[in-house]
Amino acid sequence: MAAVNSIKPRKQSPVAQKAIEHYIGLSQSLNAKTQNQMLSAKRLDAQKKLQALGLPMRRDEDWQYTSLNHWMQTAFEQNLPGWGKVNPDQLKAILPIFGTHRFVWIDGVFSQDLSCDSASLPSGLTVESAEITNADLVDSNHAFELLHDMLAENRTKIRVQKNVAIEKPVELVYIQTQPKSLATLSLDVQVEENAQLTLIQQVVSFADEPVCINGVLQMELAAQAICKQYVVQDLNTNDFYFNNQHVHQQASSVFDTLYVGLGAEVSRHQNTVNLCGEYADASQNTIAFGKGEQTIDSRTDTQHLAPHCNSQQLHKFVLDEQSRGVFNGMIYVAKGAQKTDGQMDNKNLLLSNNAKMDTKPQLEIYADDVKCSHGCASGQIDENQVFYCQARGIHQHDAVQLITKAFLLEPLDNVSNEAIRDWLMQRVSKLLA
Amino acid sequence: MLLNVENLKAEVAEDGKQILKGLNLQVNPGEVHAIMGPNGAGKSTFSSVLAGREDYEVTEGTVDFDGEDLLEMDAEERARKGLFLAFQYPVEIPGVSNKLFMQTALNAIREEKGLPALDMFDFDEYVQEKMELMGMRKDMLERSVNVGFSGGEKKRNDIFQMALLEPKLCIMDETDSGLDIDALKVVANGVNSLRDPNRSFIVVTHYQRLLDYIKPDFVHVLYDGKIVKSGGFELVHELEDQGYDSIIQSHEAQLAG
Repeated sequence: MAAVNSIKPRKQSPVAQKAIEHYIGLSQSLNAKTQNQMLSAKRLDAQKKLQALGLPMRRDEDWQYTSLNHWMQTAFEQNLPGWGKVNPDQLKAILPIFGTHRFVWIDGVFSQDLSCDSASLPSGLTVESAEITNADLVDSNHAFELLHDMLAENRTKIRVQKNVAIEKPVELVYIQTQPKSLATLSLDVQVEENAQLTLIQQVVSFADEPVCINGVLQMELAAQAICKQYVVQDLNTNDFYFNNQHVHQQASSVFDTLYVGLGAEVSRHQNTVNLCGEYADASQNTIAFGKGEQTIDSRTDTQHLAPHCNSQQLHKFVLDEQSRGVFNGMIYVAKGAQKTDGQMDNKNLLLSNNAKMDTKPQLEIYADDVKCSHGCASGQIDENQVFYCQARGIHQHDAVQLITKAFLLEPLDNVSNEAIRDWLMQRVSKLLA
Repeated sequence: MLLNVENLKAEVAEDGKQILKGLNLQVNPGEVHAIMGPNGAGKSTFSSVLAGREDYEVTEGTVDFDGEDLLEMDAEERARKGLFLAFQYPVEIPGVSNKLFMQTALNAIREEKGLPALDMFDFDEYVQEKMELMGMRKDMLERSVNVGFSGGEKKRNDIFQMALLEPKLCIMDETDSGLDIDALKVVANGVNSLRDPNRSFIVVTHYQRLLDYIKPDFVHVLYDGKIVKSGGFELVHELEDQGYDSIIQSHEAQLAG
């Protein structure tokens, strides 16, 4: 990464400058509390970098379709005193009924009461939270990763030991309860050789004013390791969600991730998957449903760095009312990564004339013996399908719902665990009703 | 009378081109009517207008279905009241299983009849019986509606839906097009097994082959948006021997005279 001093400062709008100063202020107060000099120094670096680079603007290609204007106008706060109310019924409605190893955070703070006892975890699995160290920081030029480096206080580490397969999913639930609360999430996942993990992550808000989630996940999958991950973002439609996931895969490891983006005013979920060992396999899928003024942004960067790796992607968006969807996917195949098989598909259904999808699938290939493809298609509902249903007595409204649901839920075909699949189906179906 | 079509005129909604130009047809319960005619005569338009497709606009005439004004109803209501259209090209619906589709359709029609909805178990039992009748393979239920089906399988699937929904009037819109002789027999057997004193059929076709197996009670020739000749089953063979030309010519002569 470029040294801070060599970055030419960019001119920021007054609103952006105010937001930057606000978060630098928060970061400074964290630094005042810590004894860790190396951490303070890194945070300071991040502050300076953000000050110089500024926040993303619409004229930045990667942010052309995802506006941060509303986000900048709210000064989100960390470490608000106390917790808001967690209504048990509200909580019950979002939690799956099948058994999980559950860990819950409220406004970014770990809740012992709502979480399982970490002493009761099966042998070979550890889930622990500790104060963040400088080694946990990302050190990139990405604005929200810089904010993470500036503001993260704790990181959660999940580790599955060699040759251990954890049967029950590990479930991480992040609940925001207080208006304007910001949770900076830092997650470190290590699945050792030939070990297996299923991870379910949910973010929700019970607050009636905007909240913000900013997360970074770093995952290491050793040889033959398998991780299946389901991320459900079901915030309220005035909230903000940013998540950056970095995955490193060794030989013959399998990463299978599904992002279910349902809520938030602006949400952006980014995977960066590095296929570093031969025969590694990555599946990345999206189910996104937008309405109102929502913007749902899902992006992937798949780096084929070793031969014989496979990657598959299916990203499906249904957009209603004035909502916007953004997909950006890059498959990069390095020179030596022969016999790569990379497939990427983005399909979108627009339910309204005012909904909009911006999609940009990209391939960059430097090896000469590969099989790669990308495709995208956006369209409106097929009237012939609706008429076919009507001709069988199904109400037009039900027909549209049936067809939409089938379209949107296609990525669930890949979910091998029936209980998880049913639960995700319910979560998504509720919104379509 | 189950269906009474009087002086039906209809045009393509998009460009106002008139297709049906005063069509008359009466169908009593239990009767099987065939409507034949050359390409462009308006056969498919007639099926579509009866089923309620919005691509066509009725400009004149009346259609009475079982004592009610059919033209007042939207497509789903017509289906609920017992009208069934077997499609020339059954539509694929990816991701919706045949089973869910049919259960939803059956329950919609049961609702109309004031019957309770069938749950998954009751539906399974009901469907089992009908599958045996139609010689359906079980895996077709689990597959998405018509997706990856061969032409014959799609048609068979449509007839199977007909058997499930037990309509009063079945309209077969060129169901035989593109079918080989084996698939054609399956369709014909399906229709024959569903013949019932309380169920009528309108079989729209370009060719006589299907009719040899179904043996309709009445045969009508549609030409230029009107029925120009009606008769019994023997008319099929007259057409087979002489083609449409002689009928059309005598019709044109009548008009000129």
